[in-house]
Amino acid sequence: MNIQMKKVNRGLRMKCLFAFVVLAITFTACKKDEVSPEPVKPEETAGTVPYYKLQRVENFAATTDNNTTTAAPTVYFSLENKASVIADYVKTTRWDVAFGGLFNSFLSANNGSTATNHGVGTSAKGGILILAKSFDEVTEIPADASFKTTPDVIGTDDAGDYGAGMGWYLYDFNGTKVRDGAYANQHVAYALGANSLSLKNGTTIPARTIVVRTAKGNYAKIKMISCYKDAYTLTSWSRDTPHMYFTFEYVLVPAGSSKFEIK
Amino acid sequence: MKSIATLICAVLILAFSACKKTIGLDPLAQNQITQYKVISATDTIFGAIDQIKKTITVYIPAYSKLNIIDPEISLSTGARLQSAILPVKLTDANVSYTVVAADQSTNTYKLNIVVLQEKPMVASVSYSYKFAPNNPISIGGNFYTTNASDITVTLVDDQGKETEALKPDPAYFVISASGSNVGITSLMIPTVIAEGNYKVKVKVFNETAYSTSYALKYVQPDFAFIGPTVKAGGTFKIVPNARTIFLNFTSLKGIINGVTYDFPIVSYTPTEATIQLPANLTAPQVNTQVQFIGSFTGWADAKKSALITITE
Repeated sequence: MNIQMKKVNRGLRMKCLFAFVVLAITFTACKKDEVSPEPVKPEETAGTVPYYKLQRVENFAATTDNNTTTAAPTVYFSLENKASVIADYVKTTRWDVAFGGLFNSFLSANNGSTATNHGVGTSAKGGILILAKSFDEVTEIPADASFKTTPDVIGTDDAGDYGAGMGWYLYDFNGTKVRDGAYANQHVAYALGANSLSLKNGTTIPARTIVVRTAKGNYAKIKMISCYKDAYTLTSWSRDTPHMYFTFEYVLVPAGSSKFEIK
Repeated sequence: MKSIATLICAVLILAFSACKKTIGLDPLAQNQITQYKVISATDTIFGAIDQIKKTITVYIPAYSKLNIIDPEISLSTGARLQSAILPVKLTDANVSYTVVAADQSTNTYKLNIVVLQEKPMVASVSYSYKFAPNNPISIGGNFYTTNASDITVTLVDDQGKETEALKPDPAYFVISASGSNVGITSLMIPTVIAEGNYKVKVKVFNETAYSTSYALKYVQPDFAFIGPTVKAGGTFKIVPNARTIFLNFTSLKGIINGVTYDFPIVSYTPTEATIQLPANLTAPQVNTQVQFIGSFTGWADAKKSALITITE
């Protein structure tokens, strides 16, 4: 009986051992499939200009041709990267302000949905407007509906010659509106961004500030300071001062903001 | 005993049925472009990425008004592009992207841009004077773009020889659209071109259309009004009259007060000639009336009255 029992126990142990080995092999062979990592989008390239910081651009070069009848080739500027953008990239969202028209003096924003805009076809959602307020006075971001999206829309001011609405500069054909009409003072373009401008007739033109919605939907306010090379104040401007070289200051705030702030 | 065997069998059945081994895909390479996207004013367009052929094909509708795309590109985790992403002209056939994985393995994709457009047709070719060198032509067709850089117009002769792209006359060049039909005016036929039959070839993005054949013939050479002020013994230049060219220009004579002077031709091209003032024509002369006669072999003489001033 004992012998019989021992035989049974030995057989049982063998079977248990066998079962254990089989299970061990089974479970070790059962390797869970590897899961491939989810591809992730690389970090989006953002503009290089930080929000809320005052930026200054000096002598952004445009046409030097004194052609008074034909528009100069448009030049483009990225507020978000603080850099000029080549004309080949006009149908991209890489630029924010176009300088077109006569003497490159008419500004527009990049908007892909406006058929006549330089950037038509792109996803650019820019717009532009001008306010009769100084740069510091402009703190509220105007309603989106008030931005203009047509090309070359802000240029000469009605207070000067060849005015086209409220503009960022006053053109003095004869040199008599602002100064004494001397030869050197004729055909001077007075940028209205930095200060109000007193005219010979006693009126004062308040400073102008341009507000831009960028191609990517952020906002900037711009103070246009000069279109003359290395000459940033009224007293240094004359008909022979090299032009068009735009000097301006601006600050960017992100899309969705309601106020312009400089921090 | 029986219950132990049954238990073992049950465990084994459970083990094998629970252990469903999936024959899965190999892990994805980590040097891949995973998404290629173009956002236009109206659409988000995804490029078709072929991970075997290593190509990206992106279809751009002609109505998008884009002539360049600025893609957004997604990559495998940890990978980067060897070069910065730049906008690509729709006509650019030589763009590729090299992805560098974290393990430094690389993968290069070739970009194919297909502009979805109707096959263009040249609906009209017209000219106001002659189908001749230095003459403007106007064309029309369903080109779907008013961006001059998207359209290349050339002439192709019977042997398939193609001219350089016709250049616009900046004073009169206009490109305008009426629906899908686009009209282009004042494209100049080259000044150096052989007589023969030519078709107008229009390439819009990557599609090409041809007009019917037109016979190109030379026209009577002529020169424009001359009124030079020349230093004695010097040279001056003359140009052909509008819509003409100099052909076989052999001599230029000038009659002053009944005396005929030979004005030697120093050199000439179809569009300009350099003329030597006769040595026996002395200074000073102010607004002297000259009857010029240009001879062009095979053609009638061209005559022009002019005033010439000669200084010392």
